Amino acid sequence: MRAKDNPMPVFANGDDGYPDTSNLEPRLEWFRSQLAHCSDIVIHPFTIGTGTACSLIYIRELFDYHDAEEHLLKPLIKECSSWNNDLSPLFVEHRLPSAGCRTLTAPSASMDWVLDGCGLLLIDGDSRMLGLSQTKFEKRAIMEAPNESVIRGPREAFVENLDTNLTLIRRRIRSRHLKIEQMTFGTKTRTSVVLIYLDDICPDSLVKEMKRRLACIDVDGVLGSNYLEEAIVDNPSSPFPQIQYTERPDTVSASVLEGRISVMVNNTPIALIAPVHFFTLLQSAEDYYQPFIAATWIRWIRFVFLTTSLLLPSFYIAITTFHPEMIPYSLLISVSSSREVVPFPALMEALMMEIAFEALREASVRIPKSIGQAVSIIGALIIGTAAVQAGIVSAAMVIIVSLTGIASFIIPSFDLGLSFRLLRFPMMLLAGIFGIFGIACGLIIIYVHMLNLQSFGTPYLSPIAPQVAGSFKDTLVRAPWWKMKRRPPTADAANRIRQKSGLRSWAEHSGEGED
Amino acid sequence: MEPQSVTQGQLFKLFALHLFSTMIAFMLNIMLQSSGYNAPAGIMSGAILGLAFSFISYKLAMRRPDSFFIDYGRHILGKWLHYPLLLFIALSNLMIAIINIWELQDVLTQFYLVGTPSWAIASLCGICIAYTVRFGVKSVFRAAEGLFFISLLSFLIIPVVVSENFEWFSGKGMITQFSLREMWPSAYYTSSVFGEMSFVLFIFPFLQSPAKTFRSLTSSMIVSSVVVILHVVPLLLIFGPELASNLNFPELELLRFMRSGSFLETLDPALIALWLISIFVKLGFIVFIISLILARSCRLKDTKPFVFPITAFIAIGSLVVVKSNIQFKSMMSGGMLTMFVIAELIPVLYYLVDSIQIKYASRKRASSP
Amino acid sequence: MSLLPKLWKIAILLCIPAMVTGCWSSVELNNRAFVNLVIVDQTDSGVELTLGIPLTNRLIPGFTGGTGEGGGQEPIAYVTRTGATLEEALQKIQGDIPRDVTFGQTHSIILGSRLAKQGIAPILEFVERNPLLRLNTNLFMVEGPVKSKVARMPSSFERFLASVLNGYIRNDQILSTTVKDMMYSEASGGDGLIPMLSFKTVDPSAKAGSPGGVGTAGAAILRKGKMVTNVLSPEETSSARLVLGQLKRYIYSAPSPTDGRNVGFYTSSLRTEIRPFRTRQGLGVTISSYSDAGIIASDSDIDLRKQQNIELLEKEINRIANKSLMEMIAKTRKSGADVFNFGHYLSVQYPKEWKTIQQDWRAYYKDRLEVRVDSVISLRRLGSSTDSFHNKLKVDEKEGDERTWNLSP
Repeated sequence: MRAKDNPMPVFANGDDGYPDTSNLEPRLEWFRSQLAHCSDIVIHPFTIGTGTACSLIYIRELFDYHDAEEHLLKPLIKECSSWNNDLSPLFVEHRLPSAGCRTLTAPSASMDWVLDGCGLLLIDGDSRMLGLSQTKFEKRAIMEAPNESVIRGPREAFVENLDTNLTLIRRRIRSRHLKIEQMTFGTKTRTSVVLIYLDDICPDSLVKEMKRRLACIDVDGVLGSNYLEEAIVDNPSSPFPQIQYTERPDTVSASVLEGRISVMVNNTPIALIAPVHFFTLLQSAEDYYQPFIAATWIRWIRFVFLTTSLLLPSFYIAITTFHPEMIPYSLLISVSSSREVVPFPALMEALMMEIAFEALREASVRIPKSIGQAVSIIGALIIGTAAVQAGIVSAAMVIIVSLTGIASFIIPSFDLGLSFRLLRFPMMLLAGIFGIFGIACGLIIIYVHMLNLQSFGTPYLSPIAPQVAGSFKDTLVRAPWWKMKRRPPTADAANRIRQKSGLRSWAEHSGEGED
Repeated sequence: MEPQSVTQGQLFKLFALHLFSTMIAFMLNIMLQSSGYNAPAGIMSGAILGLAFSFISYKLAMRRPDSFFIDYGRHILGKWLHYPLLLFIALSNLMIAIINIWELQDVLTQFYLVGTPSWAIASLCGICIAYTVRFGVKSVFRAAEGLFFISLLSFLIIPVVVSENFEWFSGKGMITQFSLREMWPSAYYTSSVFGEMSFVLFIFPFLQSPAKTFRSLTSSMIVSSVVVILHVVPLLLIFGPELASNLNFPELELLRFMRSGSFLETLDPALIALWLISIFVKLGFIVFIISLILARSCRLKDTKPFVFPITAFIAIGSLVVVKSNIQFKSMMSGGMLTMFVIAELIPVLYYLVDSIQIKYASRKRASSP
Repeated sequence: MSLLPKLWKIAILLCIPAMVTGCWSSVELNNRAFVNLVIVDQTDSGVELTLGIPLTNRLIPGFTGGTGEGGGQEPIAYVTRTGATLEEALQKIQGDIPRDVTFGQTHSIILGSRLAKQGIAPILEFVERNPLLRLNTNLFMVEGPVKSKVARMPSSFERFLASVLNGYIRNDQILSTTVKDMMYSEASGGDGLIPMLSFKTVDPSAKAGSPGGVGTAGAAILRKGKMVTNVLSPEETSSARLVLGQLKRYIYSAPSPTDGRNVGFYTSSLRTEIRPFRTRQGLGVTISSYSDAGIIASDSDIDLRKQQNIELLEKEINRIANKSLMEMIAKTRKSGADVFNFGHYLSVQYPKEWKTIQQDWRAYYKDRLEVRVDSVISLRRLGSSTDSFHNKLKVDEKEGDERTWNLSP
């Protein structure tokens, strides 16, 4: 069965044995049998009016019973006495002050309604059921983004509840062109997934392509955005991320304004943004809240450390074992003397230290906070000082490994940092066998791989290759706002102008030159 | 294969890399040996000569910019002549690639990777080149585009850094010792290299705005010849023609010539690594041309199945064909260059025959009422 | 779709044999012996090759506080072997050292005078052909048997003698001749000036900390790779450095034109131009050197405030410079060695005439080449004070014949 763009998907198997009657008891029996052994399902019988039996079915703590009682049951009990046992106003005209009521007839749909946390009102004598959508459950408050913190920007981050997240986006983009299309995935989880885009800026082809790729998903559960990611990226066996993820609403809003499309999944605070290219992954939200000179400088630092995280250990191995004439003489003597006592060859030493560092990093994720600090001190001592003094590794190696480790965290996108961390190991092997020549070959293979990678039709390395004039403004440097007049090429070609004339036209008029 | 997927900018960058990378890396000592002070003039004139070869190629291609030369060529010269000529062109390209890989592994095994067996280097080169080409024409051109500026910078930085060792007065020798006879060998050599631009004929359907191709070719020629001359002139100014012609790898000696004890003197392996990448792009283009010829001759649409065998052939060929440095030198001074020049001039033959055919056809049309 | 595309499978297949056979040409850093100094001499039993190799296992940081407490632990080893040829000696050394001898860090070669008299062509050839030895390796010469002098001498300013030599070159304190200079042109190939080092043997009973024993002395003239009997004195060497444009902050004194008392100067050469010219008698070169000078001290009563006095001083220094230049050039001409490569300049400017005299160039250089010297030294700086102490305070010799020198700061 394919998931359709339909807020209420129909599942074929839900209708077994549903009694086709307007009596209450058989229907309640059916519900009880379907929901047997569910201790949190409440079936609340009551009587209204002149003895009509009703029953409210809901899940405890998901359904806002008090609100329903206040605004539904009490008025119902009051009102229905004037309806003369004809409850059609209830179902047809929705004469109750309760928003989101819906008349349901199909049993599977009503079952889904209950399982979604809404309430179901069954009335004896009418085979129709009333669905009440007052849900209220515990959810996390909007807090600061734990993994993407900025100094000078908004601190709000997404939470698990999709509706709350959507409000965060709506509060930022108040245009009627902001489209939010909902889909449901997962046969058992029925997770709501939402596509967010601006329909006058986002190219139609992108939206169609996204829907086409998502339409093929037929899985039993979607618990996080990663499930979707692996299904829709162009090349899943590539180490590079082809879709961006974020937990900040301002990042999503900025991307949507550039003509990209965002996918948000219920029950996870991570939103996916497509398409993405390599240089976008090197940008952080902070860049746009700082003055452009500082932001440009930080970008260059990121580039430098990106290459460091990939190449520094390999360079060390290549230079010390193959090309020692490259090292200035006094440095060579120092490095050589410090390596005298080390019993391992350079390649093995580097691999050992890198793997130890990976272990330390992985362990620190899981260490309980109470002993975290002590363990990090131990780690620093053991791996650092003691190992050097015991003569197992050389001091130069420790410096290199720590620099590399720090460098890999400078990359704002964790995925990209991970892939460069992974790629470091084959580069070290190549450097150990072929020296700098091996590094060159490894670089060219990575480069060609990235060249041919595509993310939803956008080449991964644009705007460096293929070169598009004018897109340099946001990759190598962060051009000031008054220069960014056009949207990037991901936006629809017809709608590229971001701002009409200079942001700083006041300066020209008053006769002051500002450049 | 998508038509019209290569921009003129990409073409310019690919050819520029193609021309100056191997010239600077491998061919400078032959220039200096044969021409001495006249090497820069020879290079300049050889470059213009090579551009002239490709002009004729361009004119031929412009008559039918949307179809492949491999397909329409047989209508011009007939099947029995066309396919053997194509095979000859493919073979000469194969030889160019084999020679370049051999030179590459020669440099590496002599200087940097002293104990590594040649097969390891050749196979690593082969893997890189095959990986670049297998994704098609777009991949090769995009690779060139992305690399162009870094590569150009790395080539241009060298004359700047060694400039303190220049003896400027020696430069006068280029004027006072000018002789056409001495200039000719390096002009011939250079024209065989720059004439490789005439193979643009094969990829014409892939180009956007094909009318502007000649402009891109001219820009490539100018940029490449300037860069090469910017490397030859420092060699003459620092080492002098007599010493420089005796060196087998004058570029490497130049790189090592920075002031003793400073940090920069030690950068030559890193620069060699950057040059390697440009050389791979050049070889990628050559492999693409060969696979295009073979694929379209066999009426296949896709070049992918041919890429691997061709690359393997080149890698193995580089190990087998040339056994030693001395044999290489004797091979190069023999007929090899002439073979390349003939291959580059084959489009001239087609152009002439085509022109005659067109004239004949129009005369026939004019004569018949 | 298979998870691993075909290409990766092939690549992995190729990598496996690579890893099985191991790394072929990687040599561990500590498995190499980096030669920082090459010393070649000729002895009765053949060519004596000494390689100066730092002992990194004596330099482990954190274990030794400093080098050579009590002079016991020298961080450098000089390994000497003798063979009939250079290659034989090299092979013997490699056979005796447990590490891989690597020439990549060699910047200096010291030659013994006995070898120089026999001819240094084999050394130059070795350097040119070896891919790791650079063409800008500096050459030095030592009079007499080299090895004993070098091996016994501790260097106190730097850890290694090679660093001392590199420092001399870096600070322009010594005539710098590289292998490339010696091989520049065929007509004068093998002609050059090689700086000489002087070694003062240190008395073993002297106190620790007494200054090391290496110093700069004159220069040797080589003709066709062989040393000639004429040797340049240190002053002549400094004129040679002026011609080569290598003179930086050279300190000397000249008598003042007014009263003949000494005025001390320091000179830095800005540039030197050698330009050939042609007269009816034949070819010649003009050596024009432009330098900057400043006054260090003045014992004379010359009034340095007046411009014409400055010009007088300049004229005097120019005269002295020209004179020593001509003397130095005359010495090289007497030996018939074109040490400054004048032939190259002639070949560039007048190629046709050059072709005729190329064959007997050295004879032409000895007898017929006209050399003109034109040094332009501009006295720009007077230091921090103007009047000399002598002038200012009128310290007179008549009172007790005591003179106090107080050099202006």
